[in-house]
Amino acid sequence: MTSDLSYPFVIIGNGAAGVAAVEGIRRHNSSDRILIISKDPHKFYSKPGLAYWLTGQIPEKQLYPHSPFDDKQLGIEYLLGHVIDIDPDRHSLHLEDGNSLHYRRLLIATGAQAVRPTIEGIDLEGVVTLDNLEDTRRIIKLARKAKRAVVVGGGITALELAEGLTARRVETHYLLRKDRYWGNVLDEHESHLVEERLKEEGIQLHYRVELQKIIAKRNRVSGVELRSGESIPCDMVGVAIGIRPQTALVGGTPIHVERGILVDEIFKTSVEDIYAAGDVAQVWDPHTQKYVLDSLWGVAREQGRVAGINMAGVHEPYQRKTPFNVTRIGRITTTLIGCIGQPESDDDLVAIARGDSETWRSSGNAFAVKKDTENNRVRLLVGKSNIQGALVMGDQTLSRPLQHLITEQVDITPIRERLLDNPEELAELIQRFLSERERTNHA
Amino acid sequence: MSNFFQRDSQRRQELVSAYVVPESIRCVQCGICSYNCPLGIDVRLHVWNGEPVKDSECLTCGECVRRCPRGVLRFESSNIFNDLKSR
Repeated sequence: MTSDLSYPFVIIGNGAAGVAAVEGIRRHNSSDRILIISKDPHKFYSKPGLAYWLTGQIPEKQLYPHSPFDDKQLGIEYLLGHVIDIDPDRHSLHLEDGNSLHYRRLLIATGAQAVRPTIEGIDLEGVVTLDNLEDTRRIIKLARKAKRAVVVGGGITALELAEGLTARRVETHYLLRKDRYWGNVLDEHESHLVEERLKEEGIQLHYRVELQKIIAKRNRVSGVELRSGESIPCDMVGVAIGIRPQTALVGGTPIHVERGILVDEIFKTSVEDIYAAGDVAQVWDPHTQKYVLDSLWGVAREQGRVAGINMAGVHEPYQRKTPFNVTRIGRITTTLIGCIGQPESDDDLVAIARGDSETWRSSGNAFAVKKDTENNRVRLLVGKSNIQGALVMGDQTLSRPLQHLITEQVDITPIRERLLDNPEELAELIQRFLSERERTNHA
Repeated sequence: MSNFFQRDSQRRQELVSAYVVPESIRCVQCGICSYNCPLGIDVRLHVWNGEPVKDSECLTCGECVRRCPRGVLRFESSNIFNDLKSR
C-alpha cells in the first residue's frame, strides 16, 4: 500500500457497529468506496454467541451470520491491520505496519476490551477472558485438560465463563468479593435466585473472598492465593471484571475521551469528520444530560446504522432508547430495562461488563414494586407517572408489555396507586391496562 | 412423557397461528435459531432484516421460538400482548 491511498469512508472495526455503519452509509450512498480496517482476522461474527459456543449449544461455524459484506458489493474493501494513530488535520491514519491512508469521513468502532487486574500471574497462559473468538478457542482448548477453574468478576460475562467451563466439565469455583452476585443491579432476592441456580449447576460459590495472586508451577497456573492467605489449587483462572472502550488510537488527538470517546447525537466526536459508535462510544443522552456507556449488541448495531447515515450526509439524530437486554443469568431468562439499580456497590466489577449498561445502575426516584412466584420475579420501579425500570426473571410474559411501557414512557397514572398498594396484582393490572389502552387506541 | 404432551399441545397451538415474527432489537445474531431449524431456514437472517419468516417451507414447528435464549421470536397471533410494537 502506498501513502497516497484515499477513501471517502473508512471504518475501523468489524463488529456490530462497524457492519451496521456500512449498511447505513449504503442506504444513502451507493457508490463511494468504503474501507473497513480490522485487527481481528475473522469475518463478522456474533460476540454474544461466544457464550453459547462455550456451553456447546452451537458450533463455532454458527457464529458467523450472513453479513452485508457477503454479497460482493462494489466498493467495499477490507484491510487486516491495526490503526495506531490518527492525524485529524491531514485526515490520515497510520497503521502498525508503517502504512498510512487518507479518509474523508472516519468511523471509530473499535469496541471494548476486557480489563485485567494488575496482580501477580495475570499473564500466565491459563488465565482467560471471554472477549473474542480467539479467547474462546483458547478456553475450549485449555478446558479439555483442565480439572478445576477459578472465576472472578461479575455481570453476565463472569457467569458465562463459569457456566461455560462447567458445561465443559471443569470443576468451577466462582469468587465473590461481597455477600452476593451483581449487587448494584440485582436486589438480594434476585441475587439469591441466581446463586441457587449456579449451585444447582455444580458451580461452587465463595463469598467475601478476594484474589491476591495467581500461583504458577513451571510457568503454568497451579492455583490462586486469596487475600485471607488461603489458596485454591486450579489449572485455569477466568477473569471478567469489566470492559474498557478501546480508545488508544485517539491518544494524541484533540478527540475528547472520558470513559469512552464522547459523541453527540449524530455520533460525531469533538473533531470534524471523525465519528464513533458502539462499545467504544460514550454517547450523549438528552434525557439525563449525560454521556453514557452501553455494551449492548442491539444498541451497537443501531448506533452504527445511524452513524453511517449521518456520515453519508443525511442528518438523522439518534434516539437513545431505554437500555434493555434479555439474557440468561444462571439459566434464568432475565429481562433488564431502564433504571433498576441498587444503592449498594458491586466490588466484583471495575467497569460495566458486556451485555451491560451504565443506566441500569441508576435507581432514579422511584418505588420498587415486586412480585414473586416460585422461581419467577418481577420488579418494577414506579416513578411519578410512569415506570422507570423493570426486571423480569423466569416467566417472560411481562417482558414485552413492560419494555413497551418503559420505552414509550407511557403514563400509568390510572393504575399507579393500585400497583403500589397491591403488588400481588401487578401482572393482571398491567395486562388489563394495556388491553384497555389498545382498545381505546383502536376505537 | 408429560413433557411430550406439553410440547405436542404447544405445537398444535402454534400451527393454527400464522408465522414466526422477530423483534430484532433483542437479537444478538448468535444463530441458535438457524442451527435448530429442521429445514435449514436462515431464521437469523430474517431477524437481521426485521422480516417475518414467511418461507413456504416453514413448518411453524416452533423450534426456533423455543430455543432462542433472548425471546426474539414469537408466533404472530391476535393476542394483544404479542402485538405491541416495541420499535
